[in-house]
Parts: sequence; C-alpha cells; structure tokens
Amino acid sequence: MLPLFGPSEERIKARTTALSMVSSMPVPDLSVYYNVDAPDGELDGLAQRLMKADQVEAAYVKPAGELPLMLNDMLPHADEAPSTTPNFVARQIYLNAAPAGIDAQYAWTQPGGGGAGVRIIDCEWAWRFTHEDLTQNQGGVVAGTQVNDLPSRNHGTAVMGEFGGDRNTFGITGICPDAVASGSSFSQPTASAIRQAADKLGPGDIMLLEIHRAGPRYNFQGRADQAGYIAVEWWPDDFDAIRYAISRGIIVVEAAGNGAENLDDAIYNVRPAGFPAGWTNPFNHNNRDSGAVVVGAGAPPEGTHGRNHGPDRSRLAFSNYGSLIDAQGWGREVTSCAYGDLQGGSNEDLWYTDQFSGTSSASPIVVGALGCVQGALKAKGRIPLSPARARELLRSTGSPQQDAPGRPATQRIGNRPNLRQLIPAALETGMWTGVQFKGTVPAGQTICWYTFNWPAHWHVFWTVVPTTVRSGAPQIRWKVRVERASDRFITYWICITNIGSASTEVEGRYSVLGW
Amino acid sequence: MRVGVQFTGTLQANQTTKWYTFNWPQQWQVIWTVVPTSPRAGAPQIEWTVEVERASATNITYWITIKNLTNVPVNIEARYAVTNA
Repeated sequence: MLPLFGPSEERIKARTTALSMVSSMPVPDLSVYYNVDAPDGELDGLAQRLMKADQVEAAYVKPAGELPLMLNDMLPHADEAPSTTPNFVARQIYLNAAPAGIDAQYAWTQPGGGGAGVRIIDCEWAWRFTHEDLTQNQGGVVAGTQVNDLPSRNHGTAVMGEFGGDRNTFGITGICPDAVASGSSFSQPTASAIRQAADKLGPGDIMLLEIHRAGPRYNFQGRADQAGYIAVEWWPDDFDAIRYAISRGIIVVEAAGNGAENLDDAIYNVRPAGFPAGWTNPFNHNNRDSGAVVVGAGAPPEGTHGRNHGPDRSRLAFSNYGSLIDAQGWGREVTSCAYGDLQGGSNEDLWYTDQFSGTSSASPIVVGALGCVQGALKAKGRIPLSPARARELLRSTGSPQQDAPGRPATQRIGNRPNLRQLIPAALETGMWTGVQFKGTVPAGQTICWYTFNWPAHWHVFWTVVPTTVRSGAPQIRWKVRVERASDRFITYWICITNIGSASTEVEGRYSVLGW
Repeated sequence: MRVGVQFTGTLQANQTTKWYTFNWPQQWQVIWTVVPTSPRAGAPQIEWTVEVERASATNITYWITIKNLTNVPVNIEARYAVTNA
C-alpha cells in the first residue's frame, strides 16, 4: 500500500500546498489517498478489511480504466505504403467550415490560431511518437512509461494526430499543430498520471483524459461491449486529481465514455460501498463540479467516407449523454494517424486511419478547437481561457446537436465547436463603469457590502465615494475583499469605514476593465 | 486598455505574502487587483494592498501584499490593467 499521489504523506502535503490544490468542496487532501497493489481476486476482501480500520475513511476497488477498443477494431492493409504518403487532409472533413467541421481552416488564418504557445498532455496508455506525421512539436512521454500494446499505441497515436498532426504536404494535419503535445501514461494509477500531467502544465494549457470505466449499471463489471462505461470523474480520487488540475487553470477535457448511458440517471446518485461518506454524484453539478469539459460523440455528416451514422451532429448510439456533457466532436470517420486501414503496410510509422471512433475520437476535436483559441488569445497578448470560461464558450457557440430517430437532441451531447464563432467570442472584451450600491455609514463604523455573481474572468476595479458633502477632511476609506464563490463567479466584499465624525452617504462604484 | 495576469501563487492559511513585479514603464497607469482561484463560497478569502517603488526614472516596481483571510490555503491570481496603453 503506497501513497497514490507521491512518495509520502508529508511530501505530498508540502508539495500540494506549495503548488496549488484546493477544490470547490472542502479542501481535498491528496496526501490521504493510498493505492493498494494486490491480486485482483483479493481486492474486494482487502477493501472490506480496510474499511474496518479506524483511520480509513473509504476503501473502494476501481474497475480498470479502458480504451474504447470495441469501436476501433480496424486492421492495417497488407499493401505497403507508397514512397510518399498522399495528402489526406481532404478526408479530414472535421477541419472544414461549420457545420460539417469545426473550421480549423479559419483558425489557421488567425495569428496564433494553430495553437502556438499552448501545451497539451494526452493521458492514456501509449503513442507512436516516431510516426511520420508526429515529428514536430512533440514532447514525448512526460509521466509514466509507454505500455507495449498495439491497440493502445494505435489509439494514442490517432488521438495525437487529430490535434497535433504535423503541418506538411502529406498525410494528415492536426487541428492545432503548433501546440506542443505530450503524453502521460496510465501505466500508473490514473489519478497519479493526471496529477503528474497537471504539474507539467500551466494556466491555459490543456489536458485530455482518454479513458472510461465500467460503472454501476452492470455492477462495475468489465464487458466486451463496454455498455454502462462512464466518465472517470465519478471516482473520488480521479475527481480530486481533476480538481487539482482545474485549480491550476488547466483546461481538462474528459471523454464522456462509450457506455450509451444517461448520466443524469438516478443510478449515479447511489454512493457505492467503500466511497467516502460525504461523496455526492459529480455528474450533477448542483452537487459539485469537477470543472472538466466533458465531450460526447456525435455523428459526422452523412456520407462521410461513403458511410452513414445518422443525421449530422446527432448523438451516436454508444455515446453517453446528459446535462454534464459540454460539447460534441466527431465520433465516427475521423481520419488521423495509426491503425493502417487508410494506409497500411509493415511500417507502423506510416499508418493512417479513416475510421477512428468513439468519445475517444470526439474529445481530441474539442481539445484541438480549444488549442486554436488559446493560441489566438496568446498571440494577442490576451489572458487564455480559464477552464470555466472555456466551458461557457463551448456551450454558447457552435453547431447545434440534431435529432436522430430514437436519439433526440434532448439526450444532450452539446454543440460541435465552430472556431469561426468561438475565436471571436473568446477575443471579445469590454469596458464599462457603473454604481453598484448606495448606503449610509455611521460615524466611526465599518460596514461591508457584498455583491455576487460577477463573472470570474472580468477584471473589476472598485472605488467608493461619499455623496454627503462635508469639506475639510477625508470622510471614508474602503477595503476590497474577494471570494471565489465558484469556478465561474466572484463575490466582492466592499468594507467601508467612516473616518469622519458624522454619518455619511456612500456610493460603491465599479469599473469592468476587460478580460 | 490592456489587461493581464502577472502572477499566480498560493497563500497558506492566514498567511500574508508580498510579491513584487518590476520594470513597469513609468508612463503606464496600472491598476492592480487580486482574486482567488480556489472556490470557497460563503466569506471573503483575500484582500490586498499595493505599494509602489520608483526604481528609476523610467521604471516602476509594484509590491503587492496579499492576505489570506481564511484558515485554509488559497490560490490567487494577481491581475493588472494598463489603463492608458
């Protein structure tokens, strides 16, 4: 049994407080998490025994994190690749103008719109960093070690190609090829890999979680069809690891999972045996909020690559859905690196696919869109989007979800990003002034006013003036105190002291300076 | 008007820390604000004061003192607005 997030409780505590680690809930202490390594057959019994110990608050067995392999069973063509790989960009319709694509081609016309200055870490199991189309702006594996497994490697390589494929005249081109892309491997416990990735990123950078787990629908049992698999934030240690990243200003993009589940279902409110007593369902943001951008899988335009998966932007049958989901990406027909069904042969470095699928293929599309936005903001010397602001903009822009027979748009997977809307919305700023409150402060007294629901990304400056005329000496002074009420909103507390000898009327004024 | 984030950091419970940031052109009119980035609803978390040093004829150093008003660590973000640039 070893500490999950570092070498010892003391070191984790020291490190987390020195860096940044506070959640929207009472501060989670990552130092108290331990990982038990034991044969699978003994884990349930061990958890029950641990729960009987006074010093143990919770002990649970997590189902293994899995890739959506069922959807990605493409095999490589036997034919050797030609001496020069053809240009496959025309097959990447997701790069095109909305509504079919996210209009990455528009983003590339904007300074920084290719993701310059942005760092992305993909958390999964393996990648092929020697692929011919992943040679530029690659950071390699920055935490954990590659798992030597072809399906995992194909998956990671396809994910990386979607947002990070090189800008050149052959193969594919990533959505934000100027961003620096790296991998953090789930060769270690997932929460630990997330935490380590967060430590290598900064505000405005992006982390992608390419994983889902067997949920309570089928009693946490792994299944070949992966039905009932859900997003990983449902488990306490993964939730706290995500919160750790969010609290550092990192945008975390999380695959919703391919379990065909309604994540608003009451089954997800039931606390499993062994979870902490205070655990509540994070899929319901009224309980608590990981802060991650959660991505569902939508159908590509009908006829893409000669196949149909339902109306464009409709929920694909396997995709989880619900109020938690923020945005959708293509969940079928994604042309990228790896697998070899588009270009195969004996050399894995030359493989390409036309059929990458799942919330796995959808999430990198949203990552790529956000990479373009962050790059465009940075190029203009602007503040990159916070995680909360990124989510707001993804929800308020984009091409809307469509109905499909049996899968109405009320089964929410959100909008497909549209960079022609998203980048201008992110670049928009404003400045205005106003009077927020008026009141009376008796002589010698201090009175605090609070004003809430100020968008956290607004830069707000407060001043106070007396409106009672009394010349000859100062009448008031004030202090501004600040409360981060949530990821999205700030409450300002304006404490005004009357330093004169008579009661005075005051006026609290604000200036929104921009964002 | 130009706004930005100059630095981020963490304050331990009830801790007060002073940061400084230098080489600001003297002709820039700069407003400093600080906000927590760790949500904790219900009460103010931080307050700050600004002190100013004229480091040279051309440059100004700003000293931002931030106080954590709570009994838990808080992450902060110090923001600037240059009102005449």
